[in-house]
Amino acid sequence: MDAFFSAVPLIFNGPVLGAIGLGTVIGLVFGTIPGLTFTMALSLALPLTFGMGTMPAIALLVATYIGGMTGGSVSAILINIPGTPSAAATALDGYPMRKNGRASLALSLAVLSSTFGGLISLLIMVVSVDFVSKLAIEFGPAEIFALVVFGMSTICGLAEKSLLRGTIGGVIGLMLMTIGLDEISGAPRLTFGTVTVEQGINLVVAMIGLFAVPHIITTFGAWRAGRQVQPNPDDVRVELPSLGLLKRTFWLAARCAGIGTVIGAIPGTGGPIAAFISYDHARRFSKDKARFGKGAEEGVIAPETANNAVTGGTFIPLLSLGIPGDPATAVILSGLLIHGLFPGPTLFSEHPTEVYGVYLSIILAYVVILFIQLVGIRFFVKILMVPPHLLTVAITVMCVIGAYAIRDSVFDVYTLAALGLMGYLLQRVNIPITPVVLGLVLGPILERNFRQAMILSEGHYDIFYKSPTAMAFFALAVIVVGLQAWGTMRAGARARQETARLPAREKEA
Amino acid sequence: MSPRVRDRIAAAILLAVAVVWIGLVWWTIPAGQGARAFPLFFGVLLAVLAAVMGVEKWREPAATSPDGEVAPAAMPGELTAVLATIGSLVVYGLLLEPLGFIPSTILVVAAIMIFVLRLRTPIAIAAMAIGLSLGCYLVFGKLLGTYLPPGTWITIYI
Repeated sequence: MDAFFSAVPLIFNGPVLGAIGLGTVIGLVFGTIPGLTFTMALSLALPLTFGMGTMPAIALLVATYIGGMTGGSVSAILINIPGTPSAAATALDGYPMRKNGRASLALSLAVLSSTFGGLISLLIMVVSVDFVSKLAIEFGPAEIFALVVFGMSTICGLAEKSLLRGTIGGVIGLMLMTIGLDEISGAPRLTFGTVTVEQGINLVVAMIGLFAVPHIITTFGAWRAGRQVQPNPDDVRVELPSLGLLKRTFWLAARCAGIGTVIGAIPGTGGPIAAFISYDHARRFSKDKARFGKGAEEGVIAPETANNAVTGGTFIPLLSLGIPGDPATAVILSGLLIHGLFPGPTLFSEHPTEVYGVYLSIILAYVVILFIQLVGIRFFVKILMVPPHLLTVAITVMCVIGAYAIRDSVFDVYTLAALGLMGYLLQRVNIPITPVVLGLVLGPILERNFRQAMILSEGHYDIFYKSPTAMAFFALAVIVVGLQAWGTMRAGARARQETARLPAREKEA
Repeated sequence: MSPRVRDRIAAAILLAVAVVWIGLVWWTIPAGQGARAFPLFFGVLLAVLAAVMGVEKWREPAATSPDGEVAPAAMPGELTAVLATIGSLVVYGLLLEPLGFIPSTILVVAAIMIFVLRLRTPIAIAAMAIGLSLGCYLVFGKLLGTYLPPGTWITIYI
């Protein structure tokens, strides 16, 4: 509790409150505008925090994440295009509500559910982070290695439909991070004898490249092809829901908050999955299923509660184990590391004040969101009218500033271009970007802990066999990969059967 | 290009990258001290996965894709957009330190607007180029204290 009270003055001061306000607005803007995601917002915002103190920097990142997760619903409801993938489920009933003339109610339900989900997940997170940290405090390099292997297996397996493509993405990320000076032996790896490459690929540069550059290419391409869509939202205002509606849907929202938190805590899943599962949950437990898809309030409440509850969930492995579950938290992780906070079991004992600072920033970010979305929504939706191609020119400049500013190095601008091209090509062949990014983040942790374990055991692998915890994580990893592979093979067999039957059917016809 | 052909090409490229990677790792990273093990393992893993993807796509019947994923349709002028974007970034990188942040940003933004977006309104182009570079300079350089290169050929201080 002492730490909590010492965190209060750390948060309630000009720079931190300003950072929370700025972060929330950046997040909401990037979240609302289709095509721009909060992951991109975070990777562009991170370089801005280098000159800031620890607390304002962390508050800015946390607020950007939460604002971005919330903002996606606005465009989903008003123009039927989710501002972020996490809001895709919201469009299913949010847009029909708008067509029925109930856009104002849908918008207020979205922001209220988001806040509710976020705060419930914060509560679960506060309890779980403490609990998991205490469990993990005994972990040595062998256990951490096994844990990261398990994390990679869920990331590659659950993040996308194809385990094979997910794993290819993950391995590419792991490979990229081995370039540069080896941190244990000091040997140069794939540097081609140049000093500039010795510093390796910077994680933030890679993330800006992988997320922002493909977007720039697509927007320029769409503009040149004359396919740009310019949304034009009507004049909107917000109408608060009746107390009866809130009472009727309270338990649904509470359950969806739980679903979102749990899913968020599993590395490799995230907002879109949580939102769709909750939407499905709401429909299955509804007495009148026919209303769904035609503007059911529950169809907005469930996904919006769940996708914001994911934010609390993703923070559990991030703060207690140092493992980010999605690209957004990977950026937050780099932000924490840059400012000298090493997430993991010892974070609590060493920096309790900062951890409470994170919790308080989350609460304040929701206060700002409620204010902007309930009071200022009429002005806020005008950002949807900014022409995307001009916005993209500005984003191009911001990418270069961000990449350059990290190490004051032009090498990073070229890395940005190269990885941006790579990200675009990978997207075109349906290789997901999320495992690439998490491979980038987890690669060094994986290698460092494996080699430390080997040094500890003087080269014997029994350091892994003798640890029940490590073996349990390996077993979980095998189960995740096995289940995914089995599912893929069954789907493949079904597809082959279908095609085998196809010519026969054609003959009949 | 059908998704099947595209995936075969992708698998072949990934396999080639993996083989080159393995070769480079083997010949350039000194053995011992464990520096070579992880890059080598990842390279072999990528080679195996790419080979699996290639074999899978080779055996796959033409009509279906078990992944159930459909490739986004190619846009007309997609290659131009790719080259223009990557080219702008590289040129930006080349100009950034010699010219400094403000002049290089003005040049690159104007070039993107004229050649990539094919805009023909001088006022909009000038406003965007000058506004963006000065705005970013003030916000990032002055307000947030980010280091932006002042330029080695010519130096501008505001």
